Amino acid sequence: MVTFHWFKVIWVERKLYIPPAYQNNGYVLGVIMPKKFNIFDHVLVPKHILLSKEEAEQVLKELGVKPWQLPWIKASDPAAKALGAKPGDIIKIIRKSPTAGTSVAYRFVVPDVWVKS
Amino acid sequence: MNNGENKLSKEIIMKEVEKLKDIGLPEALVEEVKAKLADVKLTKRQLDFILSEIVKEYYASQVEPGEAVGTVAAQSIGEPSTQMTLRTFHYAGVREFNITLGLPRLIEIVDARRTPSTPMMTIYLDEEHRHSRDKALEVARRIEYTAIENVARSIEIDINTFSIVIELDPELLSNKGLTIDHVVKALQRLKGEIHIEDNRIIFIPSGVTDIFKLQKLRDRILGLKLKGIKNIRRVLVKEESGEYILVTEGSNLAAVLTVEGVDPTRTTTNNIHEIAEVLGIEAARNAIIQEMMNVLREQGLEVDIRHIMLVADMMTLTGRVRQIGRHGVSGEKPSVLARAAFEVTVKHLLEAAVRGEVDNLKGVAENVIVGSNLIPLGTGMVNLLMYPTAIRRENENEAGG
Repeated sequence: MVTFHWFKVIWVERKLYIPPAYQNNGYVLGVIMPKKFNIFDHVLVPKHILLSKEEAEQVLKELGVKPWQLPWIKASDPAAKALGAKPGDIIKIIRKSPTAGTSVAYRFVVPDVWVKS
Repeated sequence: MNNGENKLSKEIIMKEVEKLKDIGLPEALVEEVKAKLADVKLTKRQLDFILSEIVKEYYASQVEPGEAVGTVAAQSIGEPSTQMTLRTFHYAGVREFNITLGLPRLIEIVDARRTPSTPMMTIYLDEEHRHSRDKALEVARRIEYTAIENVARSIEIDINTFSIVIELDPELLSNKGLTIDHVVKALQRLKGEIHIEDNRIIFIPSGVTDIFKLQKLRDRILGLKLKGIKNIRRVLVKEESGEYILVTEGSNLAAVLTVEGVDPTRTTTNNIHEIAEVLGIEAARNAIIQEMMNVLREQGLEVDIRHIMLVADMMTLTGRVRQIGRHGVSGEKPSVLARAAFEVTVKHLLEAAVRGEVDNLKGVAENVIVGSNLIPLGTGMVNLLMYPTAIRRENENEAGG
């Protein structure tokens, strides 16, 4: 009689896991609205800026944090989509604050699978 | 009188004040200082003294490292909310129009419910439509969801002929800006013959032979859409600070933003999940702050906005709107002991044991539970970091060089 042995393996890697679907640089952005409306025109949406690799590194160094320690933003978030941000990027957000005038925050773009819904 | 005792010109003072921004003072504070010093004559020494005092005061008023801001926020929101009226409904300016306010609404926001108990939209209109009631009504008609049941006086089943008789109310029809043709057009989507007699439409469905099917068909006809946007049940025109705005019962942000005559830059809803979906997580953060502040202000309670901002930051931390509670912020804490301390202790401990979870004892609750004598809070946050390897390397370098 033959018995089969099944091994369960959990792969542990030190680098950030990005699902294959997101690794392609040219994935198509979903259409959010039929009529052309720039969400950044809306009063509730603050200014979002996509940081380049160098800028992102600079920010992380200044704050002394790992990227995942920043607040997150989903790659499917309408604002992130509009900027064409991909998982692993960092978005700089310039908020209008009633207490400080303007305040700067950063969000780390994460794949949707990271975020339990 | 010379050398530093001359009165400075306004430009120089403003330039000096502007420098405060470079050392990290917030914009709002700098603007305030500018406004205060606009008409004051000062010497260089006086100005320097004032500015140094401002900087000192600013740093003294900052939150100290290790301060338990979350606990302070919880108390600051919790205490005033005990004084809130428990009455759920209030009308917001317009009569016959109820929205949830007060404590129930506050709980609703913090719990991040999928849909609020009274979804509501505030629709602003564009330049062309915001100044006259008629133009505003025109947009309102475009938005309000109208089905056949909203314009019919009666819809009956005629068993003899196996037909459905719809009697329309001409007054209601013209009120909504519709004609019989609209109704006929909607009916044409179903299979069957249509006869029109004055205000009556007789619909003879083809291939329907039993009464139950006919009953079902009648229900379907009742809900047939004539025009409007799904989920928007009622629209009211309201005048507010010199312009006409629309207040709706029901909410559908994505669709309303695309309607002609609507100003998409200011239109909002009280459904925070919808805002997160359509406008993004940052907009949701702002919406949470606004909604909570509005509720508190409505009740005449003054809670510092910083506490609310902290709550909103926590809720939107992971890129989606999480509730403060067992399915959100509290339930997703990394520490087992902190979760066990919150709710259903045994379940959390058991699951953690099964998975072999490790608790690093980094938070407050865990350290209180294990009875450690240094709780990471306030002065307990301070740590001595030493890298033995780094020191050894340094020593070796010194010896070598």
